[in-house]
Amino acid sequence: MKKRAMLFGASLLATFSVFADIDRGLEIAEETQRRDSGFGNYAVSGIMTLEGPGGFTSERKFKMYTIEVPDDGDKRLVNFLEPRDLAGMVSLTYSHGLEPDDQWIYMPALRRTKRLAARDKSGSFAGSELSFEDIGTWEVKKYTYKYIKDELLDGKPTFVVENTPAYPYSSYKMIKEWVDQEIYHPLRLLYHDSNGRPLKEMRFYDYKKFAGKYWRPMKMVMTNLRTGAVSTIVWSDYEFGADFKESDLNPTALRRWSK
Amino acid sequence: MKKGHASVLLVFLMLTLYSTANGATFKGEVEGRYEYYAEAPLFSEQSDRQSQYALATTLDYNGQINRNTDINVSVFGRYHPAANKSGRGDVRELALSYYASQLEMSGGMLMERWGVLEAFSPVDILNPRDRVEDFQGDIKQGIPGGRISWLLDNGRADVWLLPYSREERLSEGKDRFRNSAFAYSDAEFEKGQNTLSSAVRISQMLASVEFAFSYYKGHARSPYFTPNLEEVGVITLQPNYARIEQAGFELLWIKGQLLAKLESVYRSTDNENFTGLGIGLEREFPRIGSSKNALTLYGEYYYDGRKSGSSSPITPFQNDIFLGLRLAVNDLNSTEYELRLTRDLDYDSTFWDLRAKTRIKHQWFVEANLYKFSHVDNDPALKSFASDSRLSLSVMLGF
Repeated sequence: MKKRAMLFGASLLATFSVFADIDRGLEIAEETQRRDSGFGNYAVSGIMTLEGPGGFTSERKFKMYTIEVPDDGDKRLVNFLEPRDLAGMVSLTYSHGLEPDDQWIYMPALRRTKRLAARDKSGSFAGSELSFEDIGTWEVKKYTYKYIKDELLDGKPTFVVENTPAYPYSSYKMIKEWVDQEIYHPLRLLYHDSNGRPLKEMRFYDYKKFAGKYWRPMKMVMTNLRTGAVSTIVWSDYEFGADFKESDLNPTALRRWSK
Repeated sequence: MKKGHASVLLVFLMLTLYSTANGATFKGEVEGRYEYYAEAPLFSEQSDRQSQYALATTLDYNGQINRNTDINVSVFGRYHPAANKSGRGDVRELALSYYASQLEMSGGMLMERWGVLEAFSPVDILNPRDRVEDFQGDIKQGIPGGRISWLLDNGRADVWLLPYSREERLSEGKDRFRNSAFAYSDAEFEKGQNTLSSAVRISQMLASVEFAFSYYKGHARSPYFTPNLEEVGVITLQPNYARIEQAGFELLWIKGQLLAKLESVYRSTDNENFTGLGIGLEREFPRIGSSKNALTLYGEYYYDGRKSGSSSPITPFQNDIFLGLRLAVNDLNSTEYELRLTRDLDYDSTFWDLRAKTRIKHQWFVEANLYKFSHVDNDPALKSFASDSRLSLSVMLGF
């Protein structure tokens, strides 16, 4: 009887502990969002270098514009500048949390704006190791969270959290995240495929503070753990409070952005 | 060149030069192309060179005049020694545009595109086609005019005024892909080439549904032909551009990864009224297995109610199905393959179009394209292309 009571007690403790870990994981995510909310909009330039097997590389240049939408997912426009075959192409995504995003691309050669089916976001972003899901805006409600432990990563204290996609069409089973305890932003993401096996790793480097409050990385490196292929994005010219409005990110006016 | 045209060009040139000071992008492409025709041409005048070469360039310019005003220029030129006109160019776009938050205005040489379907857009009426550059009509010529647009909450409303009608560019003489054995005489526009054409289009997005209504009144963009006896034994065809009214409807519905599309038109002329319709499905598979390959499949059906022998232009899409497959490898070189098959259900003719493109160096690209016509002898829209199956290889330098 005593043994049973002990077992019951241990299982109760474990249950409370799991709930506590879930609460703690959610607290960390909500704190991340609280610290990052209110930015309004920002623009940033990116140079993405794709490195394939054998050391061959290819570069894409683009500018990204993000608008914060308080009651829905954010809106993001990517304007490709190089190479020549991508130059002038514009993609626009309205993120919707648990609903499929809305996505359009403008193809300059055809002067055509085309709506895309965006439920499955596993497709490659401009040939890189990043998918449209990876490059999309992050929302708290897109995942459930479980705090695992504290851990030092490159000498920095981090919270290790398991993010399980709540979006039913996610291509990942789980994303393990190392959150910087000082700035509440990710330093490392380990993506697990639908079978739960590690697939890709994203590392974030050189965070800088903008507009006195908002931390952004200057470099992101995504490594495909199966093929060894690497995609690196170097960010520059972050501009918070940039000169564009929500109405400018309009799918019927993408031609304005194409240069 | 008329004095008025020269003045307009001078104004655009000055604005273009001024806009370079405020931030401009200039890009272009030079293409060297080799074409191989396996069969001798159908018509005696056509060039019988099996191997043909061409050099082409496109130049695109965007300049900011101020924060709300920019100028877009897109010019094209091709040198093709075996063609009927060995050197040829076109200003596809030369437009001055003003953008306010809910308003857009553009004037000059415009390039517009309507429609949701992949193989052919029945509703797309504003710009005349360049059938010499692309017999399928995907490449269009600029059209002079003005557009004013209002951006709505979930859509837009556009109005066009087009004071001048341009002819569709047709293959003739030495060109391959000729529609007919006869030469063309000067085109005739029912109300004169300088008669105003106008159009309005209203588009809306409602969650997973997008739709648009359009109405066009003006000269047709494709001609019908009447024979002229020029002298004994010499017959020419005269391209005639009738005044038409066309009401169009476009619909796009997204369900999961599937896109369902519809385009329909009702066109009326003095002699004939008819309906055209296209319906289609598109399904994308963004990742095949563990690769980055993305596969898109298309299936479309076209119907057109114009009667054979009518005074309306012949359309190849009167009772046809189109099947397409696009494979984007998503590698470092942006390699893409595309297979397009169009089959006429009335005449059992088939047209195969196979395309492949990849980057070979930072700004260098190669492209291969195979056109293959099968059993087109009875198809009035394709029978003159029976000997024009072609393989082309292009090397392009972008800058």
